[in-house]
Amino acid sequence: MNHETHEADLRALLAGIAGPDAATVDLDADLIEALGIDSLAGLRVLAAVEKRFGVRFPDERLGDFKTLRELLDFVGQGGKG
Amino acid sequence: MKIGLIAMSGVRVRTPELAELGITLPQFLNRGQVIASLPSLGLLTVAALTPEEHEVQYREIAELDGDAPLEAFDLVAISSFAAQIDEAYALADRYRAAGTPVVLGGLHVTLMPDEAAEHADAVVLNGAEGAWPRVVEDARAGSLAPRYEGLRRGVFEPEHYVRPRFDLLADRPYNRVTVQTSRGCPLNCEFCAASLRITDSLQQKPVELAIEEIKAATSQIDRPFLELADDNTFVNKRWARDFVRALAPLGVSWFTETDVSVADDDELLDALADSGCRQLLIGFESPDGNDLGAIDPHGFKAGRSSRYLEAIDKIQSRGITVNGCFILGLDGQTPDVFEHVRDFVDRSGLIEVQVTVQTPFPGTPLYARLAAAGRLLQERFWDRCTLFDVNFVPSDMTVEQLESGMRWLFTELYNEHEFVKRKRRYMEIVKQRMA
Repeated sequence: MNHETHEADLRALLAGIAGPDAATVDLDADLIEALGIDSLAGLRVLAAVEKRFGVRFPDERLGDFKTLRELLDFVGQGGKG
Repeated sequence: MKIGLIAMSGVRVRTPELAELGITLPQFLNRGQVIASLPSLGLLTVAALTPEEHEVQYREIAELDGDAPLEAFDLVAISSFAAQIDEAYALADRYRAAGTPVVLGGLHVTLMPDEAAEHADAVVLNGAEGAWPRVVEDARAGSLAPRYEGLRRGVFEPEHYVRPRFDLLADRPYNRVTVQTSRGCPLNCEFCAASLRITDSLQQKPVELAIEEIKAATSQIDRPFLELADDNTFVNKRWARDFVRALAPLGVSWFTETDVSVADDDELLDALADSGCRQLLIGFESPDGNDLGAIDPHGFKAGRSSRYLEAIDKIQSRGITVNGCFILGLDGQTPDVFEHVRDFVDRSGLIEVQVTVQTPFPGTPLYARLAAAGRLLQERFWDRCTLFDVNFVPSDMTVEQLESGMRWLFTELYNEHEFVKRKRRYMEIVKQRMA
């Protein structure tokens, strides 16, 4: 899967949790602030990414994945970012 | 008339060691911030009860510059909880000194009307329904009575009900809105200083009315999170099922407070899971259930405590987090209680935890009992009614043991390691439900 496909998949996944604004949210925007989601929704995003892409975010770094680009990079590196 | 409605909000712990702890513990601070960020539903209701010919302005105390000249109003109404009441009185005194009549209302004022009357031209007891239109009329005529009694029942009947003026929240920086679906609670816990003190019995809003109100409230804010401002939303399970099913199509994320009996109703739990309910706050009070005594007059919680773990699992497995609440300093609790709570939280898998100290709010049966027993540390301590400051002598430990035990428990429960554990637990539940 290439970077563009990952991005499209991630935006679709985000839209399911945070609404249609996910389609246009900036790659470097803080997702919680930009999409106005609560902290539990933020965790649901991470859980959905793990499930969809078969990766696992390190527990001690759960707070580090704040933007679409950070999620994309982690997924793109097969969960080794 | 131009009427100013001024809301007091925010939780400020007084004990320095706890305040310092609050600054460094993420979850502890978060809850205080959330409470502080909620608008005053009571004053939005007062606004709605105000005849249209009058102009109404809604203000938060934080918006007012204490050193600046007072904003000019023809009438000022202030609502406050106990912890901020002295600030409310000081503001009322300033307005009155400037010649502006002041009306005080809310829970604390209802429970302590004589004290409040020293700082007001009039006090409103109970709900504003049935009282506020008369207050406005009398204020316009320059003949305010010293005391008005609002309704204690029938507040949601068509002749008294008004929809709160949620439009006053437009363009304000709230990300949460509150809607009330009921007032009162049949459990009648001794410590409770909430809406059961301003009602004679449980007052339930019809489902259709609650849903219309939620639509109005959530339409004012971009991507709102809804908090139901009830003390026990799901007392009536049939109403609860109808309400939750009607709420689901709105697509709102929401939170409320209820009791553990919600876990007895699988149909309701399934409906909750599909409705956008993100969290239920449940007062377990004690992990053991055998030290509840007078705070649980009907034995409701004591009788269910052996099934708490099962209940938490049933709720959380549906993707709804439980914010489990515990009270420290109950009669019969010894210094062992701190470890008991820590161990229970660990075993339970609770995703959120709220630990507070037993607080004898003025006007409650708990206050009367502790005062009669000579166990209050001061006669007047309203600014310390924060739920975190100790104001009484515990029965089976010293004040110092209670304070230091509480600090120990906070550091055990609200540290980064535990925070991450709870996050991961929630993510695994979400993933299981996606399977």
